[in-house]
Amino acid sequence: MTAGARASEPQRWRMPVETGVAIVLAAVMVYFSVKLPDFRSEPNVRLIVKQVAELAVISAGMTLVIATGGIDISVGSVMALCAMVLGWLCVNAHAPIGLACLGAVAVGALCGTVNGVLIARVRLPSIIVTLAMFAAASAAATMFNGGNSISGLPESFTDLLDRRDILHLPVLLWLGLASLVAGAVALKFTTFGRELLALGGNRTATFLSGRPTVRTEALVYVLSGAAAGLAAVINVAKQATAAQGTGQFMELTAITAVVLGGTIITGGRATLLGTALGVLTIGALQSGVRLLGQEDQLAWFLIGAALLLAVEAQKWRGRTGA
Amino acid sequence: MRSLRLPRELPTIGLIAAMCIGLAATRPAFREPSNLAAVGQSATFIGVLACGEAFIILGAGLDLSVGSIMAVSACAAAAGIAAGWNWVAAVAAGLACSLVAGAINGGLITDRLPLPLVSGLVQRLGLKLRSVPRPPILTTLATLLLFRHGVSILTRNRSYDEFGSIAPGLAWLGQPSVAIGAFAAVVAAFALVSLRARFGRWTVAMGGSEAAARLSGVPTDRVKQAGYALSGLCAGISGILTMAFNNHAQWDIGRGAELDAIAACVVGGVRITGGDGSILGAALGALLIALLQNALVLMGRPKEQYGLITGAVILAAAVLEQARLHRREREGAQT
Repeated sequence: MTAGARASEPQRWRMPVETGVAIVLAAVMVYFSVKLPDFRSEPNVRLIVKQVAELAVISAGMTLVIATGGIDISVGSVMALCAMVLGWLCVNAHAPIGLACLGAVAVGALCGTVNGVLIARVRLPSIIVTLAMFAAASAAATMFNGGNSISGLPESFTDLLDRRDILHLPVLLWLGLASLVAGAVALKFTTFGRELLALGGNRTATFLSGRPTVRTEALVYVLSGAAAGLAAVINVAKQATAAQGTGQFMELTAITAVVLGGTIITGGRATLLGTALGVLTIGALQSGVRLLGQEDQLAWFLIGAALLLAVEAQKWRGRTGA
Repeated sequence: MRSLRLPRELPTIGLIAAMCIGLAATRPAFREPSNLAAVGQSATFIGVLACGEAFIILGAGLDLSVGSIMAVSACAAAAGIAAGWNWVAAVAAGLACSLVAGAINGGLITDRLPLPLVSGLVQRLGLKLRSVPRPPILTTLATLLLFRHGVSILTRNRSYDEFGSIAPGLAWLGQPSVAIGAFAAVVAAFALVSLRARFGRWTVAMGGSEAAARLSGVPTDRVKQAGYALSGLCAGISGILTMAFNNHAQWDIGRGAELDAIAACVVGGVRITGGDGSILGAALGALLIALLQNALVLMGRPKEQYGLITGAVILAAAVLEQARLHRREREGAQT
């Protein structure tokens, strides 16, 4: 991996890490498109990209977290909390919807800040801190509106996010895409991104190079929390209700999407493009299985199998060294 | 000078005692035998899982698939009963299935169960594979999905209930006293193995440093393999007990139970990175979580809100563990 080793050896072309997931996604798409004409119809494609929007947003944050070598299992229940906050602010407190959305994202970022400070500053293991946040946030979500779901959100809100198009593409697609692109740009072109990759690769070396490890690591969790808040806004807009069960098992799904995309769980290397393809694979599998008239569980079974393959694929990549 | 070492379980025991005294003094309903039995029973469902999970975490692994394995064993046993088997045979079959599921986890993680189609093919093509172990967290995340949804596909989402008329023996298993007895037996067996048996000591050594353990001749792959199989068996026992208690089994039984099990371990003082902690601690952690749930119910608050307190207790346990580590480092620096 070092510059010296690379110079002494002839440059060898290396398969990009996204190859595996790209092949899987292509196979899934081709299979369903040939088998089901409905699958490749425009309404269905629009439906798929709208359905995976919140997963895309959360997975973008999760990719950054995993790049530092951490994990955030609180995103699903933070999403539930943010959804309830949004519903409560808008319906029970009569706040304007824009403010309620901001409030939801702020609550997500706040949860992320708590995670980040405890993980980066106090140096507690990320899995424990986010497990505690998982328990606390899902409990807090049940305290709004007596644990009942909140409906009666303004029609215009659902309309704007769920039904409106920008440049002939659904708003939700733009939101998901924007999160992924923002993550990719941050990772590739900003000091913050390079620092968080360095952190995931070797914490001590990063610290000794004088980089602000605590700030970088904490910020990653704040972003992940804010992503959960944004995902909650998307979900509430789609459902037109805020329910405390929102985002259940989202953490597992997002981790699956990220790893499927080729990001390495121990940190140090990450790919947002891979994550995007992973998210699409999950969405395509779910949609195809549903169109086949099968239960959702079959799709989840196949996603599990794909995940196992992705873990396996991390071995093949090793053969060129690195 | 040797400083006095307090047992790791002490804070958990203290909290449990304080909660019991406080609840008994202020809420007469707590002392009702039926309530105590309910606490014991919910402690059992989490605690049996936590014993297996603690064993894995002690060895620096992680098993996310335990909740799904509960569904494997419960649905296998329920299907057996529905097919007219004797309930003992059905339960044995369910437990065997969970043992196999755990062994599959272990096999995948230690690479003893190669994915023959994929890796074998790649190797046949003459490409050399880097021997990286599959990370337990990802492998068991994959098997979480595979087991749970495999069960749902195989059973066609069927819901099994009304065991009372077909298998009266199962009602016996659903009694609180039997469940608590099973819990005690599992805790005793696991505690004994982890403290006295060679296999148990090997597991703890592996959790401290896998490389050091391997170099001292510990067959790490075999130890891991057996550990995951045992964790699967624990999940199986918990699944069967849950099924017997609810008189109902379906593919979604025990959903999310893996996080409860991990929480019980952390609360009970098992270090998440392995090498330190005890089975007894994990069992006490499960009891504490069951008590917290019960306390909220007795105070007339929705049970869901126990997460706030559980979250705080998990954090407190993590901070305590951190302090312990720092102290050990300081002591290490002095000598």
